[in-house]
Order: sequence, then structure tokens, then C-alpha cells
Amino acid sequence: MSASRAVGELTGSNTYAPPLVEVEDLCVEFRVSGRWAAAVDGVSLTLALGRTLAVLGESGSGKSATARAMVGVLPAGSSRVSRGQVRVHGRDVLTMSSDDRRATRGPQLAMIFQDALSALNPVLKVGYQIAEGAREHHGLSRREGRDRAVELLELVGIPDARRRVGNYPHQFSGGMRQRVMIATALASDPEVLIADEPTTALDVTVQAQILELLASLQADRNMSLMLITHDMGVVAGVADDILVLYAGRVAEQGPADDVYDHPAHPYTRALLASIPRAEQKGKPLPVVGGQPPDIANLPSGCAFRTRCPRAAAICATTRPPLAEVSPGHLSACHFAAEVAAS
Amino acid sequence: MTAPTTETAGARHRGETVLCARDVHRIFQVGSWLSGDRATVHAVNGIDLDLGRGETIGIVGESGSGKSTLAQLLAGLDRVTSGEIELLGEPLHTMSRRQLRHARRHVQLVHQDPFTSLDPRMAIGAIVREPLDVHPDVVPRTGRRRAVAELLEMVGLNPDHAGRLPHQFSGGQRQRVGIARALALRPEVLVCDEPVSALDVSVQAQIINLLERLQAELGLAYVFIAHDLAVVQHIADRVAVMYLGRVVEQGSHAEVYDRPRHPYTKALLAAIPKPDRASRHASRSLVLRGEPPSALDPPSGCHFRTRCWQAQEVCAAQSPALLPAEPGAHAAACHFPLVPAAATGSAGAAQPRD
Repeated sequence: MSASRAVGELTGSNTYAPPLVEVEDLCVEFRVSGRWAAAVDGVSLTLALGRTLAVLGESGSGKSATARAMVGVLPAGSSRVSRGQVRVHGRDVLTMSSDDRRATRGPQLAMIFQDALSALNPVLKVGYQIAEGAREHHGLSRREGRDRAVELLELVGIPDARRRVGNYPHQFSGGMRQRVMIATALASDPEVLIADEPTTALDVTVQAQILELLASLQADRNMSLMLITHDMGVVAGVADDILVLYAGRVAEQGPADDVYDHPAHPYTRALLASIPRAEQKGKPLPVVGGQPPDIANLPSGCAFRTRCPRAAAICATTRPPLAEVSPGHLSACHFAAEVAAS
Repeated sequence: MTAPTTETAGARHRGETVLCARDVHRIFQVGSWLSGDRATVHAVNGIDLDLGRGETIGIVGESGSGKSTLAQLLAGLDRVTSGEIELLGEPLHTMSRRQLRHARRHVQLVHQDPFTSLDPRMAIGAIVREPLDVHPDVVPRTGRRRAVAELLEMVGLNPDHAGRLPHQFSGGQRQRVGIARALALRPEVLVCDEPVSALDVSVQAQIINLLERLQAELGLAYVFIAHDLAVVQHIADRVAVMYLGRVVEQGSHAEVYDRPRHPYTKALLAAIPKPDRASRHASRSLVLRGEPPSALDPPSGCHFRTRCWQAQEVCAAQSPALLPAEPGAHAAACHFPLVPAAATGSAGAAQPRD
């Protein structure tokens, strides 16, 4: 809790704006062979106007579950939010009535997904899908919605938008489809855009285009952007703040410069080191050995200790608290200070 | 076509070519007879390739560049439309099906997606054993169980888990199963078709290290296919960059990475996300516009011209040949290849080559 406040104060003092979204001590559980297991365990984060938060982690680290809980699209039945708050403009959306929640969260939080082909409805024209948010939340007519859809398609860089608005998703290429989904997300003029691995399925040259588009939209519209990825290289150029998740828990969070220059968790350090670079040619890449743990069966103490080069006796007995290494820069490691200094 | 190899490539070269392709073409007919909407796709358009024993050649290209079709051809799973492919001196393109089946044990394919390329109802031990049953002369029946255990151990899996099903493993472990299966017949060549693209970055590094260790231990040659230059830069001795079925640049690791001559290579290099904060405020001067055109209807002349910042009239009229700028330099297919100074500094055009 002190964690989220520390980051909130920092971002607040930088931008003179109150945080749009505050997530506090969020816990999400999934049903794993009949038992509930924590996929997200005590995550706190803040999204502020005009800033980009990058959420990093491997498959199963809880990064998508965190985002889905915030937007309210967790799979019903097999998952639940068991603890915590998601405050939008200071109001907790998780305890609201569902009508209030729709009115608060719908127009302000929008999300785009990795696979645009399965996220878009294949039997509806893209114009109709793009305008849906605007019709729903701003009461636009169909005709106005269509005009809005054309505007949005132009905004995201789709040529010949007036004609393309009547096309179906399969008539677009992968990169264009991702642009259509971004247009869909922008329709309700959201203050917060959450992008879950938006470029993972794309070609590299197209990936660079989409990242550039997201960054420019974020700057022009002064949105808050939450970018979820497993690749530290992708977000290095765009993130203001970083949140590193491991096995559903926060491993490290703080301003991007601090996290990149002085990673204070062995896991962050390993993620950075495992990116192939030309100068490493001929040598084995430094890797995190082993596999991510099963969330239904986490190691005692620190969840990362089974793969950690620094693990000591204390790591098996005590779960490390998320503590400050420098103002606003937090790490959940018993040896955070030494790791950051090395 | 191979420039004199330098640096690591030279050290690893042991002279002998294990896989070689000459002017390989593969043309697909698409569309339906009924609608009369027939078209052809020139998926692989005149590729030359030489792979030495123990060497790694990286093939880089975006969607639609023909790299996966080339992988199928090199692995003997598809037939060339024209051209020649020789595996250990034997011509694959003229073999009967029976001969081909026998020859294929020397070249094995590692697939991209470990989630869909393994039979979900087969135990991983059986998956790894299957090629040994298909080619019974490699390991006698009584030794196969032991061979499977050795293969699993070699790729870093616990042989006691041979009875488990693929869904009980993570993506990285499944890719290890795929590699163990590919190694079962003791091939000379592995064709790896985007072997790490579906994996987390941290797991990618594990698989790349595994492939490098296996290469050192077994003397394997790799054709390593990827959609970006970042992964390939760690593993490849030589690199070929493909665009819509053609090789646009080919050379040693150092030549392609440090002195790119084709604009597309330079753009691909610029698109590699840099994991450092220094790139934060550097503007991306070299983001390519648009996406690769459809292979059904490629642009005339140079296929890349529609996205190239230095395209001129000649680019639409003539397809540039894959040639070195001067004897000894590496080959690029461009009417206006970049000069090394321009390649390291800002983008600029060199003098036109006649």
C-alpha cells in the first residue's frame, strides 16, 4: 500500500495531475483443478495522465490478468477478484453497481489485445465495431457513428478510410487489423488505453509502426498508456514507469530510467541480460534457468528463489517485502540494495 | 555467390558443403477452378544457398517473404518448381518418393509453434521415438527406449517424464521436445523455422543456447529462419535477408550487420528494439511505411520499391540483380546500394550502379 502511494506521489509531482487510475493490493484468483490459486497477488499501480506504464513479465506472470481485472473482462466462473481496489478518479469500480461501473469504466478505460483477428467480430463491418463505443457511451446515431469511424480510421493511419469502413476484419492485413482495434479502443475517447502485447504477433517493421502510433496517440491525446509485454526491448523507448511481475507478484517497480539503469531485482536483471545483442556473439546468452513456477504450487518465501542466482536461506523462509531502494523505485528482494549497486 | 567469409564463419567452415540450393523457384497456384479466379504466387524466386558442415546460415524475412516455403523445400517436404537442391551431394529435386524419404533423415525441420506441432495425445517419449520407428535402420528396436532417454537428456528434459503429454509442459519445454525429435535420426542439418518466435524472451535465450551447444557437440549445420534480425544476430555465421521471395542481401554476419547495403536490411536493423534507455529520445528516423505487398501481386521491378525511400524510375522498370558492389564485397540486390559510410550514419543513397 505504501508502495502505490510512493509511486503515486512521484508521478503526481512530475505531472501535477491526480492519478486517473489507482490499483491497490489487487488479487486475482483462477480456478486450477478445483482450487483457487492466486494469479495476481497484491499488485498496486498508478496510471497518470500523459504517462506510459510498461508491465513486464513472462507468460503466467499475471500481467494480462491484472489488466483484465482492471477493465472487467476476466473470464467469469473460472476467475475472481478476491481482494483489492481499482479506483477510477477516486471511485472503486469493483464495489459499484454494474450500471455505475459501465458508466465509469466503459468510456474511460479501453483495452486492445494481442490477436486482433480474434478480438474483432468477423461478421460485423469494422466501421460498425469501431463506432460501437461512441454510440454506447456518447449516444451517437448510426450515421454519426460511421463518420466517427472514418475519422478514427484516418487517425490510426488507414488509407482510404471512407471505403475501408465498410470492410470486414479479414480484409485487413495483420498490422492494419491492429490499427482497426486501436481505433475501436479510441472511439469512446478514453483517458486510459491498456495494450496487451499489441505488437507480439506482428512483423518487426510493422511492430515499429504500431509502437510509434501508440506513442504519438498517447502524446497527442494526453492519454495514459499501459503497455503489457514480455520483451524489455520493446518498451525501452516508450515507458515512463515500469512494473515487473513474477508469478503474480510485483518484483520491481519504479521510474523507467531507474529500473533500466539500476535494476534492483535479480529477475529484472536477468530479463535485461537475456536479450540477444551483437556483442555477445559466440558466447552463451545469460539466461534465467528453469521454468516459471506453477501458480497453484509456489515455492515458499520468495517465488523467484528457485531460479535466482543469489538465493540464500532467508529467501526460502521469508517472502521479501516490496521496499524502496531509491525514491519511487521499489524491489521485492532481500538483497535489493546489493543487486542495484552491482 | 559466397563472399570470402571472415571472422567466425571462416573458423567454423570445414570446407564441406552439406546443403546447397541453386536458383530455386517454387510457384503455387491459388484460387479456385470454378470461379476462374486463378493466380500464381512466386513464393520462392531464384534462391541460391550454400551451407557448410557445422555452419549456421540465418534467413530473415517478414510474413510473405517465402522463408517458410524455403524451409519446406530445404527439408525435402516440398518439391521445387525449378532449380536444384543438393543434400550431402545427392540431388533432392530429382529423387523418387522412396529415395526422398530415405534422404530426409539427414535434414530435419524444427517447427515454430511447439503448441500445435506436437500431437496432443502422444506422450513425449513416443513423439521423440516415432522417427526411429519410421527409419528402423538408425537404431535397433531394442535400443530405442534408451535412445529416447538420451535424446531427452541431451535437450535438457528429464527422461523420467517421457510418459507425460505435451500439455503438461511449458512452451520452452515443448520446443525442446521438438528439437529432440528432430535430432532422433542424427541429421546433418536442422532447418529451424522460427524456432523461438512463439516463446518468451527469457525462454528464447535458453533455446538459442541449447541449439548452440548441440551444434558444438554434434557438428550440426543450421538453417535458422526468423522474422527479425535480433535473434539471428546471436546465432548466425552468415545471413540472407529475404523480401517477397527473393534474397535482397546476403553476406557474413559482420557484413550484413555492420555494413548493410540494401535499404530493407538497414530498415530491419533500425526496427530492432534497443533494450537501453539511450534510444528513448532518439527519433526513429527509419520506420518503414506500409506493410509488405501481397505476394499475389508484387510490385514490378524491385519488389521493395513501394516502401523504399530512395526508389526511382529504374526501380519500377528493372529488377536489380543480387550482386556484390565490387569483387570481394557481399551481395545486395539494389540499384542504389548504400555505401558503408551512409550505412553507419544517416540514410543516404550511393551512386547508381550501372
